[in-house]
Amino acid sequence: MLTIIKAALQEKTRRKDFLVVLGVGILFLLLISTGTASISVNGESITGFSRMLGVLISISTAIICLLSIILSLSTISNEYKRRSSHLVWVRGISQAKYHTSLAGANFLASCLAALVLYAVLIYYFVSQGQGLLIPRLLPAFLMTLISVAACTTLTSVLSLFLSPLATGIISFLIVGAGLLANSLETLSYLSEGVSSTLIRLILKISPDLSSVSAQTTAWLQGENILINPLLRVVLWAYLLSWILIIFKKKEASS
Amino acid sequence: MIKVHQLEKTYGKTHVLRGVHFEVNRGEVFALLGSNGAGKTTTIKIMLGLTQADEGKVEFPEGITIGYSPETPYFPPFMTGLEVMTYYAKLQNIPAKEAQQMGRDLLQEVGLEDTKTKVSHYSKGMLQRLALAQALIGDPELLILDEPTAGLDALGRIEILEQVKKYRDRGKTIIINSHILHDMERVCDRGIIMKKGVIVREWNKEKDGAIALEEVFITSMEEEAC
Repeated sequence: MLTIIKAALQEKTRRKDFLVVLGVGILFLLLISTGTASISVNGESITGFSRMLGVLISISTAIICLLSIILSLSTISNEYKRRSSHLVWVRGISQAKYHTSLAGANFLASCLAALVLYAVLIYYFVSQGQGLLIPRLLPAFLMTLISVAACTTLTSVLSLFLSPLATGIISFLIVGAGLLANSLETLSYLSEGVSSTLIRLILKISPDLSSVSAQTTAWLQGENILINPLLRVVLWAYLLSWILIIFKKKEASS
Repeated sequence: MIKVHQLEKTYGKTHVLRGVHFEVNRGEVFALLGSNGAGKTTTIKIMLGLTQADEGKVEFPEGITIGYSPETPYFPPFMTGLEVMTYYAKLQNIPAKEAQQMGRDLLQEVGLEDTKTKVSHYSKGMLQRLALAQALIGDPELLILDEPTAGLDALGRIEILEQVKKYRDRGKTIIINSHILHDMERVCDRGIIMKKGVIVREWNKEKDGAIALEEVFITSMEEEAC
């Protein structure tokens, strides 16, 4: 398993799109955190470390989730397209092992990207004279990895059945809904009829990533955190990951 | 040694294999011949367990080890030939140190002495030789080669065929799927000619003797399915 994960991870991190997407993510975070670009919510400019931190965590979580989707989009489908899967299957490697290894590589590549983006946060903390908060970043990072696990599992599972494009679209929709879960929930109360039902349905199948982001911010601000929202997303990813184990492709090439 | 029993396979409404039935003896080089869409690759995929037959079965001697070289080999371009070999050897649970040595030896055997060149710089011929080398990991008793000379120039083809002859002389059983009749005639002992999922003729170099395989092939393509 480790052999497949290592090779898939090596391939992933050498790809240009990995570096480009990561570069864009870093640039975006740097622009926001250094104040080059301003953020405003409801027309009000966000200033002050405490308020900025929440926004920054939300944005970095969103970027990390998007990165995770992009990095996981084509790993499994590419293996089948190139028929690399044939040379693995003939060596007695089960599909369950193969698919979970590839999903594992997706997760690790996304973790790596998340780690690099967290380095930008360290830079921001130092620049704001909040260096003492840096040790709190490790648990915060681990909380972010819960979102990463949810995104990579979802994308890996979808890529077993769908083309990279369809996988991407559906993943973005589900993860997007998860990131905006709080706002969507409010919207569902404000709307009526079909749209309200539709929003509630989307929220039901989406992982509540906005809560993960909120707990991360709370932790960094020294507030108490709730474990349940985190565990719910872990459970969501865990249950979904079983599809990687149970599902068997009929053909070794698609 | 290997018994293929009445294989049936359909993809949607297309019946790709209709009662394909043959046997391959130990130490033989056996050819799967036929034009495009004859069902050769599907037969190989079923033999390798890469796809399921709707009906019929393939019987192998217990514990037989199989090496497979695909028609269009893809190897991670950032890896060297040796890294590719080590990767597949590790998948076969061969310890890292042993895998490295085995990889080096096999690469040398197929004429890829330069173990440091990245796969991205490999020519088509080098890729085919690498595909053959990875199929040889663990010294399998049976080799299944899918179009091993496809897309190669004359020299490349000769080199691959020489390798096949070498393994035949070592007593390995080899099943080759190919379009190139001349190549098959040079290295194979027996074979089947397939057309639209049906075996239309069996070919035996010893029995058919003076008749060129090309002639046998053309005649059988015109005949009704047997």
